[in-house]
Amino acid sequence: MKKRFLAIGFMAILASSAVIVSCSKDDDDFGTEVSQKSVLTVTLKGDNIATYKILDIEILETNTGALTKKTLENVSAYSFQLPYGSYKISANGTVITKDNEEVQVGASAEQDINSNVVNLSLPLVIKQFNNDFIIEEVFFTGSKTNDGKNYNNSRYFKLTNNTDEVLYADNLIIATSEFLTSVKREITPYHIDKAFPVASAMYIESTTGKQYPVAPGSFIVVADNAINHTKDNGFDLRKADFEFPSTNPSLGQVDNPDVPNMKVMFTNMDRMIFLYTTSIQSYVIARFPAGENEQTLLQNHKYDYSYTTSAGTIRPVSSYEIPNSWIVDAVNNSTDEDFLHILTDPSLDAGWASAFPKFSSKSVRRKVLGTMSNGKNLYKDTNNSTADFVRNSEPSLKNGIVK
Amino acid sequence: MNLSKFVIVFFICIGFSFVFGQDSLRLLPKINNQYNEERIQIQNFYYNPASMSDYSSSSMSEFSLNYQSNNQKTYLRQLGSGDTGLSLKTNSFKKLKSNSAVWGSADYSNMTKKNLSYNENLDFERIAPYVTQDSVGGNLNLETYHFAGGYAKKMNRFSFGLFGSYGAQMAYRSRDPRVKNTTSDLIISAGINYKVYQDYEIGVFGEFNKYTQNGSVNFVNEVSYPIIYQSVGFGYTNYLFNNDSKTQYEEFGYKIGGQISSKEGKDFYITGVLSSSNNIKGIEPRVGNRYYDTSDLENKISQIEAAKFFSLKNNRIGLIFNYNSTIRTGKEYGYTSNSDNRELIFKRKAYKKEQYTTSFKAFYQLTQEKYIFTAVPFFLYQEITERRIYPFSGQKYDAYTLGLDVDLKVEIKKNQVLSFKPSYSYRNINKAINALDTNLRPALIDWINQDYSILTSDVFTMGAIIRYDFTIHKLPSFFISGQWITMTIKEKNNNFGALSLGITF
Repeated sequence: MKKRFLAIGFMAILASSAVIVSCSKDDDDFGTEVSQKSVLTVTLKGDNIATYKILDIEILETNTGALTKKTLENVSAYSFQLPYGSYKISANGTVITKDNEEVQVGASAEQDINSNVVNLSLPLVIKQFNNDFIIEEVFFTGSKTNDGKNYNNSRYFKLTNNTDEVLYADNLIIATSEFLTSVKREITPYHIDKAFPVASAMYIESTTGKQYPVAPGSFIVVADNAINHTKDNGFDLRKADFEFPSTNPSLGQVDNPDVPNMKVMFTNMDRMIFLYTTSIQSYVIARFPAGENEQTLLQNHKYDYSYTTSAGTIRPVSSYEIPNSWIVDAVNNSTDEDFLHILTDPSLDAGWASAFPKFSSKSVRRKVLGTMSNGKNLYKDTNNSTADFVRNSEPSLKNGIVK
Repeated sequence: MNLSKFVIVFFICIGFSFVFGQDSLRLLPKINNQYNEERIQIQNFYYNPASMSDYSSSSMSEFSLNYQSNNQKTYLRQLGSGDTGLSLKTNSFKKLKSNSAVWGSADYSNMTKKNLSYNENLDFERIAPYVTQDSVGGNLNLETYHFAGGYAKKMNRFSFGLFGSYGAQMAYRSRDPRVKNTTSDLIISAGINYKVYQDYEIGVFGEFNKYTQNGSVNFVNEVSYPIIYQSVGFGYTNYLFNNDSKTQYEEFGYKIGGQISSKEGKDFYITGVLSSSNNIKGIEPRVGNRYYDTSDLENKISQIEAAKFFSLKNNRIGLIFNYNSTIRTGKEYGYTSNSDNRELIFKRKAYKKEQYTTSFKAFYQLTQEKYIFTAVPFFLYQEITERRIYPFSGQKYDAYTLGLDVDLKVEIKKNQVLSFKPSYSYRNINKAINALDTNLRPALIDWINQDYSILTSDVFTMGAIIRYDFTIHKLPSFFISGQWITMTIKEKNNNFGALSLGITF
């Protein structure tokens, strides 16, 4: 009899466990971790600012890729409710100074959030605009040939005179970034608020300074290889104004003797200027200020930095940098999947453009605001590539160079 | 394990099977015992290895060579459009004495899984949603090896049982994206039963499971490669670890259960099982030399099954009730991207899938001298809720399935048996709610909407197995069997066909 009780008791335990199981379905939350929320208060700061007229804030969480956007009008602080995470914060907009001048500003910051309350002060910098060339378009993705092979050539920069006066392309510098928007390392020293670290830099060599005039609204094309690439689904770049020099025959580039070569000042690729196809690089155009030239840049603007490798060792690297004050325009490039940080000071470019995937024959092209008095396009330039550029655009030179 | 080692072990198992094989004068009783429909319906009772000593009153073995082809027109992209391939299987149960038994099995298969996309891993159901994915995908060549063995013994009022199994898989794709996956799965279980009163037994059992999966995705051109995504479900991915292609899944699990039965489960039994496992995914950054844990998928299963059987002359009647609750909770890890060192800054539960299944089966069997007829009508009700947060996305649906499985074994001659097993089922979606977040790229929206549409579609399934067993002189019995299943989803047919040749003894 006692054993029968044991058996009945055992059955009762089984039955009660079934009841517990069936009740557990009502507990449909995610547990206490759902309270991992934080209040991030962003306070905008800047010298000589009277009114924070309008500012677009973008906050990217880099584990989930979640993007939070908010437009602030006439306020300098805002509290965001955000889950714990590792954040990149950027601001772009317009403020009115105490001198009643309306100027454009930008800012960027990084912040890890894993506590309930976080306060962040975001110093705004006034954007630097120059009455000079702009980067109207960069084609770096490459193309696919008819038999599906990757075609790495036919890349180009299109630089446009977005002013109402004649500009001279003489001594104009084009430089590619030393770092990538998709890789974040702790670089020492790192001072993009002062200078732009470069992987390669080339310029339009000129003795007179007035050899290459460009009319208002007109443009110059700097091609990697000024030949006809159409058989490989690239573009006919024979009418390019300049081309990247090629002294490395193993890389297969052909020099077009009718198109002047850019002068390479520095490159970390073997005598080549190379553009990444993957939309993870930034580009700037710059001018030598009075008294500066190739020699003074190489002499006075060496950039020696170091970072810790994944193996834990310190790796020293020697490169060059271009002071921000020399830079006339900049564009960061990244992708939605890979973006981690911009490589320029926000005063030069506080956003990023994108052409993706690689070998897609897509380019980054600046948006058209309207037309100039001479009927040429007037392009948008707010030093925020996110807003200024059309992503994954059809290249403007797909039918060749027509001026 | 390479193929040569497998072949050696495999033939040892076959030899073992021959030694344990035994002759029978008439084939029908032997086939009816070996493929006993009642036993097939109560497999959960044999979770407990201590109950295996009563699995069969006689020894039995099978060796088979199988070919299968599964062609699906409507399919979940992460599972592919079916598979084709060959397998070798052998299993054996041997009564050593009236109070002890050993059993074992060895399987090898070589399959091609077709048209997989958004999933570059194996064992999708085990690791989802934390799979590696790219949108290209393709076919996957898969080899699997599996060995298992157990021993059970009765001593006075006690029965003991021990069981172990090991499975390994190797998958690869020889064109971009070049996938390589290996898995290993080790299970060890033990159980004990105690006869408390007359034919009443109570038992407890436990199981330990260790599982690992290592995966990588590579491209011929190591400099240029498309993006690889680390999925977190519903089209969302781990932004920080996307493009990192080496993954590692490590899972530890246990299962405990209790059982009460009468007449070795042939009168009634109640069995309850609780199991828990944690599957931790690690990703090695492309520039890095260590794996970072990115998710911990906790899987909790509770199951209770009760069955009652009784006999009326030649009729055997039974009822089986089963309730299963499977709750999977994904805890995701976040790291800083603001410094060189990827320091952990949060862990949070962000994914949950709940699946509740209730089933009732009735069992009827008529045993006559020349034939055995079995019918198993069943009803199944299933509720599935799946969702994630940051951002919120989810889907919920419930469905009921009505079906009937029939088995007819007919003795044509003393040494020939023909078996015919038609089956039919209809799954009806009762209610479906879609709260899928569509803030995704268009291709991903298309994919998750298609998944939802398939999961919440009614399914009509019809199939049959026909099998012919025969004995020639004193050789072991041979069999040939063919199977066909047609599943109609969204007015398209998914077809499964299989052919088997084998011997039983």
